[in-house]
Amino acid sequence: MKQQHARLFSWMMLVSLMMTMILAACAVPDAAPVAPVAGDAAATAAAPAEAAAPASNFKPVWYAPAPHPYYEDVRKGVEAFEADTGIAVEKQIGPDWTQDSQNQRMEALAAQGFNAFSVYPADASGANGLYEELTAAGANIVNFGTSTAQPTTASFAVATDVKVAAMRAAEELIAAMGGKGNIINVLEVLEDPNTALRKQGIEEVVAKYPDVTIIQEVAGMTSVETAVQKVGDALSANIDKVDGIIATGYTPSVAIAQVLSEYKEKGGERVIHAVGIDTDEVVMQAIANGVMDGTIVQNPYGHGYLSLLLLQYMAEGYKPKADAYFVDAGFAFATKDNLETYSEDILAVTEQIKAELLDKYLEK
Amino acid sequence: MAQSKVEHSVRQDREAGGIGSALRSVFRRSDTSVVIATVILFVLFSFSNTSFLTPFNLFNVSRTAALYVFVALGQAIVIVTGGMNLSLGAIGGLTVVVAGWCMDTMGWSPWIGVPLAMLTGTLCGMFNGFIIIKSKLNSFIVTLASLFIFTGLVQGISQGFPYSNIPRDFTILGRNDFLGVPYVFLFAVAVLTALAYVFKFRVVGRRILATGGNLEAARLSGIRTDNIVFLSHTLSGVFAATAGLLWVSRMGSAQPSTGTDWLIISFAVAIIGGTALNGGEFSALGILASAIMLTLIKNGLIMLNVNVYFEQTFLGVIVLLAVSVESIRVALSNRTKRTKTDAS
Amino acid sequence: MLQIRHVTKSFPGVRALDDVSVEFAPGEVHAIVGENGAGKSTLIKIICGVYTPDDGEVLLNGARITLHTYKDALDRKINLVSQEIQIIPKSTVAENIMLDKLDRYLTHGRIDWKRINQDAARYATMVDLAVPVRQIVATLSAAQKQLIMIARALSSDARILVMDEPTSALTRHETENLLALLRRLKAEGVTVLFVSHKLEEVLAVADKVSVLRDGCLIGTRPIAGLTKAQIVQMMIGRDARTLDLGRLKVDAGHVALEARSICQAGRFHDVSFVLQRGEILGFYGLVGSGRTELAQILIGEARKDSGEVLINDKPTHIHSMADSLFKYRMGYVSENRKEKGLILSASIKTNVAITIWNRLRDRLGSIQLAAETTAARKLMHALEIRATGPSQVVGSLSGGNQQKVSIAKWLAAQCDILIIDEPTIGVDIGAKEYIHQLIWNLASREGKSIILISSDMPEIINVARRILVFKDFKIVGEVRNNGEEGAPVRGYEEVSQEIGQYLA
Repeated sequence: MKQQHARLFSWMMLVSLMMTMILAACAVPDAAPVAPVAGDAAATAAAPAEAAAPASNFKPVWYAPAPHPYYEDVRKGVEAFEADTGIAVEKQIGPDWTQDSQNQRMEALAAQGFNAFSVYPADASGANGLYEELTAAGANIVNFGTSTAQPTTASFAVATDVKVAAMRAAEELIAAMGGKGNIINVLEVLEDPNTALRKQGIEEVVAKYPDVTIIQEVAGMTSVETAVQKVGDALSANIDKVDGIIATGYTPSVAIAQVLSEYKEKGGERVIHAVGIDTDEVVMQAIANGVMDGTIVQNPYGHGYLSLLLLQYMAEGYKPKADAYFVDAGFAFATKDNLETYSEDILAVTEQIKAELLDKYLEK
Repeated sequence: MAQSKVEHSVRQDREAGGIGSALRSVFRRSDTSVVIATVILFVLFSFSNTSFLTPFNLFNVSRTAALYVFVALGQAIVIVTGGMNLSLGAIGGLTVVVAGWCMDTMGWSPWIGVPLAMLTGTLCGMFNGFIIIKSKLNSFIVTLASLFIFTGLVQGISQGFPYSNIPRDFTILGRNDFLGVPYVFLFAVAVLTALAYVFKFRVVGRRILATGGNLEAARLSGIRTDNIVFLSHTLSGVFAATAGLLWVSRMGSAQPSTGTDWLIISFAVAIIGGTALNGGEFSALGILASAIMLTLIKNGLIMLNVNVYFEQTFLGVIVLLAVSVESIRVALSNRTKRTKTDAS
Repeated sequence: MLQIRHVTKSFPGVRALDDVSVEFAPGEVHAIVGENGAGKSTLIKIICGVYTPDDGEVLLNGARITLHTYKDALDRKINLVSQEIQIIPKSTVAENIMLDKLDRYLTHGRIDWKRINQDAARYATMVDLAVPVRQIVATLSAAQKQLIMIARALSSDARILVMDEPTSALTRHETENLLALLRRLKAEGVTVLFVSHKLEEVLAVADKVSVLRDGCLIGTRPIAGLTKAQIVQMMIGRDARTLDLGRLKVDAGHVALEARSICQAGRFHDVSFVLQRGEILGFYGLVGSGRTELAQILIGEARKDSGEVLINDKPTHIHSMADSLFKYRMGYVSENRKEKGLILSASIKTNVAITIWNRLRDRLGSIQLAAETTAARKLMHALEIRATGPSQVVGSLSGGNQQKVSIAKWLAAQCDILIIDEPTIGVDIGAKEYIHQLIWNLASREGKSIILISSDMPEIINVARRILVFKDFKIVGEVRNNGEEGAPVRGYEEVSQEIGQYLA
């Protein structure tokens, strides 16, 4: 028996050694630019706040629930903020999309003395419980990317106005279709309250055009795989009558790009216009190849930069104006024609909002 | 007395022939019902929407079904030995990320990227199998842990970014067809046929089934059950990797989120397809039929343009109706055969 | 008064009960005996409402009754104590006893646990269950669980108590207590239907015995004046052979297997023995005395710390059953055939051929299905395995036939050395005798070397010709009962006394 245990033990040791090596190998090149793990966090916390004299008690955190390309773009805005102000921001990306993980990690950060949070809430209503505890302890919170359910103790939400963006996308699509035809509306996940807003926006626009009808809705795009399958199914169900297809979520946009590219590649003859959202490479390629007409470009840079700027102002003693909460970070529309310049357009939007931030949303 | 009874029954066994007993043996098979249900659904959807029978749609359905087959095989091959693999999707995801990293980030040809990705999936499966047989822990616990490990690696390597520069050549398998039948589907049928052969005619297949039927008894009958469990988890990794790579080939890009919804699909297809949840039984035909059935239902719901908010409810109801064909089969089968041993 | 009149029940392909009429009077212990497959279970299931008869009728106190479910039977105070133990392991003894009548103990919507425990304790005492009623059942022995099931039936005030093999898991002492309990119940006017393989118990407790064979009632006789031999004769339709296997010719010069100084920390210390070729060597001792544990070491399922095992005078390296089987042709028939011996969900074919798939392959490596079926059919025939065919699922066979299948796979593998562990547990008389004869023939005719492990003294004395007595992981004695060349084997009494001395 003992011998067996010894063998088992040595195997386990070997395995754990293997794992450590793998982890080490993965961690080395990533450590610098990527979210620091707990150890690094402590080190940052211990380091004295550099320069930034007026905000000496300002210890900001930027928190994203899980790795996703969108957050990498937001992070650029955060890093720009750091460079502009000289204030170090603790940047963390969680392991999964559950509110539970988010609670645990943000509570740990608060315990380390961080007091200003720019957060993408994992669960629009579930995050409020966490926020209440943190604000009760004197912290300030700003949502980025999306809003928490009202009422909330978060001071601001810096995000795209999803309904406005959806309406713009619908307008662009209908314009490309020449003001008439049949549309497939591809919604992302129904659990997200924003989905209903996007759906509303699209339907309001379509209602303005008597010659445009939504012939099919599909939803429940929990993964790219499901999305590709469903978009493919929807397309084949309506291949003889569809003229346009619209997506207002990231996953279905990628799926549309993929399905339409393949359709065209295999000699599909029907002209199908398509508009999506976000700048995934697959989508941008589809636009460049003329398979899709355009995409809504959100302002992730602004989401990062502006949310931290708001936190900094609040640390300096500013308070949100009575009815100020939602900060529309704006968006741009990218087509084949402005592929080179759209990123500058969106930077300009940020600069403009930055300039009017104090007057419009804050008071002493 | 006993002697004559044996002879009598042996004779009966031999004389089994003719339409009646052929029908009986059909009803005795547990995969019959899913095949029947699939055929019924196919006919129903053909009549309800004209777009259903278009080549474009059939191509898509059969291709998705084929991908489901590989996902289900990854689960079935471990269920058959009495285990399970919760990390299946994560292995698929890791394979996809490795393939994407090789072909996009490093710019290597598919001839290097694909074998490396396959190797990754295989090693993941071997890792699961190794820990299970050495630690004597339940496969549920071990693969739950490795699910986290592999998912972490997927996120760590990709940071959520898709790899979109996948060489054109590599999409041939996932996008092209032979006489309208997708290559992927032909590939799935070929693999299923091979597996059906292995489980019926090869010693290793029989040993896998025996191990699943009763691990202790199999070991005490001279089967090296540790090797079998290790093998089944390795194969699970191989199938997960295959499914992942086929997905890359179909998409033309490598999405790190691949595999996140495989767990339920893999169990659903495998179990509806007649793989016994407590091991020891496998049906290639059943897996094929149930993969097609689930794809058909999802496809049909969109064809019928049902309200998106209630789509899941319709899905559940149709699955329930389809699998209840099984209970009809059992009833029929019980009426035609009752074992003599009931009579003791 | 329960009367069964002209009851017939058929299943496709077999007539399980054929025009059976029998009466059970109040205050009577009525034994029902017969070989497996004789129709005992069917009769019981009809009485308990599990099956409805195709023909004939059941009368209770003169009135015709129709039972559709077991619940119907319970309502008429007919209770069954079945062979399989049906308890809830994680509940207490009291809960298990009172399981079906918890609703009687509701006071103001709450379960009155105090009263339940009190009442349960009373019934536990009746069946001599010496365990606190608040104890969790999981840790109890099979015998104690059996007693709980009997207590459960008693607590329902059964007027007709049907007991299917109630003593199969009980020790001798517990059995005697149970028989005494049956006599008490009888005095209270309860009708007891007692199904048992153990004819000694039938003779000891029953007033009448009904014998079934192949679905027919052979007869109902009063026990008084009946002998065991007469009952057996009715059961198997021929005179019972007193199994006298005689002297075994052993190839004295050749050692098939030799164990030298086997040590295993905490268990075995310096254990050695020799198995001659063509010999049947008995390992006798109580469960847990080290017999099975030593066998586990021999077949490589357990590790030894030191010592060696020689087969045909050569040292061996056995680390698993696979080594044992494929390198040294040594087989092991497990004592626990349902959990370790057989794949119950698989066919006879699979269970028999599992050891020889490698040999059934054609040149391309495919298993030849026809050869597999033939191999299985041959052994089914040789061992008289009663089944519908090689494809029948093993789980649906009777205990005796299952045991034959678990022996058959080692015969298929042509093993030279066979370790057979408790081969006749849960096997009826006819099959038991058959298995003894089979083991004997394997050694005497085919020259196989056999280690027979058993805690059944008559079995080990009748079949083995040299017996090693195990106690506390030691071989405490060796008994030779083969006799000298030309002399008869030693008598049963003499040998059993010698074994008893070693154990004392």
